[in-house]
This record gives sequence, structure tokens and C-alpha cells, in this order.
Amino acid sequence: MKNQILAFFLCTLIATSVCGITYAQWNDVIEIRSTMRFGTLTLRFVDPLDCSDNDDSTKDSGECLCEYTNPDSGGFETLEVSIAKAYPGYEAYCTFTLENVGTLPDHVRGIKMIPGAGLKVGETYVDAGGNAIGWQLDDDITDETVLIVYVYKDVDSSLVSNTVEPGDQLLGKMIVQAEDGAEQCHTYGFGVEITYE
Amino acid sequence: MKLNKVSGLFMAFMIAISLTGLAYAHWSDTVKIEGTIKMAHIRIKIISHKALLSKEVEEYSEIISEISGDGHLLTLTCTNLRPCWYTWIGLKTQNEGSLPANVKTPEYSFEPPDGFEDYFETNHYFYGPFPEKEDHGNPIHEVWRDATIGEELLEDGTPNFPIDHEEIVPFTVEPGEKVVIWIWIHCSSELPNDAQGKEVTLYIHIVDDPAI
Repeated sequence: MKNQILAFFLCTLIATSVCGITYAQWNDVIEIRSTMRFGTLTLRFVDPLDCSDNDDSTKDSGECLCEYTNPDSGGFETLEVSIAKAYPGYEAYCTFTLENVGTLPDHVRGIKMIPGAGLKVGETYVDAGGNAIGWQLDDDITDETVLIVYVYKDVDSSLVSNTVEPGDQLLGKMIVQAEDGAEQCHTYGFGVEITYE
Repeated sequence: MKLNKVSGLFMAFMIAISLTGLAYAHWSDTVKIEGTIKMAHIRIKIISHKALLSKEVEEYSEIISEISGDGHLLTLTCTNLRPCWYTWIGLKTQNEGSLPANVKTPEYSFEPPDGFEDYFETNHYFYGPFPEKEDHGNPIHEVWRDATIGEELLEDGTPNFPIDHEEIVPFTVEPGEKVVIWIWIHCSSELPNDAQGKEVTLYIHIVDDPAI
């Protein structure tokens, strides 16, 4: 019986080899390659930058210096305004330029005053839309007004809610006024943060 | 039962959202403005002084003078006043502030007796401005050394002091510059009897006035 099975198996093998029956399988891979390039959201200070004041230039008194610092990707991250020999009634004016150096539209979402040591925000001035355009900074002990700082697009229009398309610029203005509450020989500081998205 | 339906719907919604890959994200960044304001200061100080009495007056009166710590006030204590008593006070002042300042006539105040100031008169002579550095070329170098009154007092009451460049107030003094002020303080001949022989304290205040 065993011989019969073996013979049948052999006959089958011989028969299939004679007929040329074969089995073959091909396989391959196809690839999907995807590159995702993110846009960039970058608003930077760029030239032109102008600075002036209401002081008599023939006298050795109030001086104003504006410069951009922290260079980064096509512009600067910070505008520094340094005023020396200020006195009550002194006013410094600065016109700066913000440019969208990224690839996505920048929407200015907010502007925030950060008073320096010894100061507090006494009053916030807003435009018709309720967005900040200026701040009164008071001495945090005496409550006397020390400085008034304006940062705006136009006198009655905030930088907030403006959209800057890639490559476009947004002009801003800044005024710093020294008031009667400012102490002699004292150094005051403040920061303004402009948030965009 | 109702609650189960609601929670079931919510779960289904959440699963649907997670399956579809819906997401909300946004970028935001800031740019900054940093401001620093250094305030100026206004300060004209008396840096030295000289109080002179004539020999004639010195015989019956004396004068004690003292500058305050902030250099803004000169206190004169004058004893045994009589009609026609007078003194010359020299003040060397300096603009120690950081702003140009106007030199002005000092202000005066008196201590008792009341109404005494009505019997005093003052004349002022301003010299300067002179450079801060008091080298030999500076007219106010050792300015008090040759300052005397008596025979050298001119007819109009002007002392013969070794400086010139007299100026009319107000004039501007740049930071660091110096000015010499000579003040003639005279007691009226109409000094009432009850005020004679008294001691009076006279305060001379320097006035700060920014020239801006």
C-alpha cells in the first residue's frame, strides 16, 4: 500500500514537471512621499526708524536715541528707546516700521504695557474700538503721573486688529512724555509687548 | 435613559472628531519696545562763600555764616545791628545739575524780629560764567584771596574784587560752569530803635531755574 502512495506521488511530480506547471509571484512597493512646508509667522522691526524730540537742540538738555536690537530673520525683535536728561514737559517722538517678513498674514492681536520698577499703569487710553493706544504711568507710591507713553498707528487708531500681509509694512508711532511727577536724577523704564498671530 | 443618550451622542461626536483629525491650533509671537528715561536734575549749589565786614562795622558787629548740606542755602547770623550796618557776601556757585540753568537773584528770608526785612536792602553783582576747572587761567582761581572791603570800596558801593565779566541776570550757565555773586546787604538808616542791637538770622536761598 505504501509503495502505491509513493508511486502515485512520483507520477504526479513527473507529470507536472513534464507539463511545465510553475508558480511564481512578483511583489513590489510603491511609495507616497509627502513634504509639508509650514508657513512662517514673523513680524519684525525694519528701517526706516526716526527719532526726534521737542527740546531746543542748541542746548545741552534732553536727548533721545532709538535703535533696533536683537536682529533675527530679516528684521529686529526689539526697539529700544533711550532718553537722557529728560525734564517735565520733555517729549520724545519715534516712528518705527513693522514688516511681515514671514509667509503667513500677521494679525496684531494685542498690545501690553509693562511698567518698570516703581511705576504702575494709572490709566489706559483706547481708540474707538477699545484697543489700547497709550498709558499713563504713575509712581506706585505717590500716585503722581511720571510718564505718558503712546504707541499707536495713528492718533486715534491702535496697532491692534491690523493685519499685515507677507511683505507688507505697518507704520507705528510712539510718544514718550515726561510729567511733573518724575523725580530728578531718576531712571524710569517700561516695556511694550505687541502680540501677533 | 436620557442621560445615556446624551453621553452616547457626545462620545460618538468625540470619536468622530478624533477620527476625522480635526484640530485647532494657532501660532503667536511678540515684538517688544523697551524704553529707558533718565531724568535730568537741576542744581545750582553754593560751593564756597565769603562774608566780609568793613573794619568800622567789625568793631561792633560780627557775622556767622554757614552753608547748608545741600549747598542751596546760606545762613547768616548777624549781631548787634545798627543803622547803616552793611556786609558783603560772596557766593561761588556752580551748576552741578545736568541741564543748563538760569542764574537768578537769590531769595531772602529773615528770622525775627517781624518786619525786619523792610529795613534791609540788597544789591547784586554777578560775574561769570566761568569754566569748571579753576586753574591759573580762570579768573575765579583763589577768588576770595584778595577780596577786601574798606578803602577799596568804590563810591557806588561796588567792591574792588579781582574778577570782571559782570553779567546781568538772568543768564544761562551750562552744567559744570561757575558764577560768582557778590551781594551787598545794607541796613537802613531808619532802623527803629527797638530793632537796634538785635541779632537777626538771614537766609539766602539759591534759586534753581532750568534754562529750557
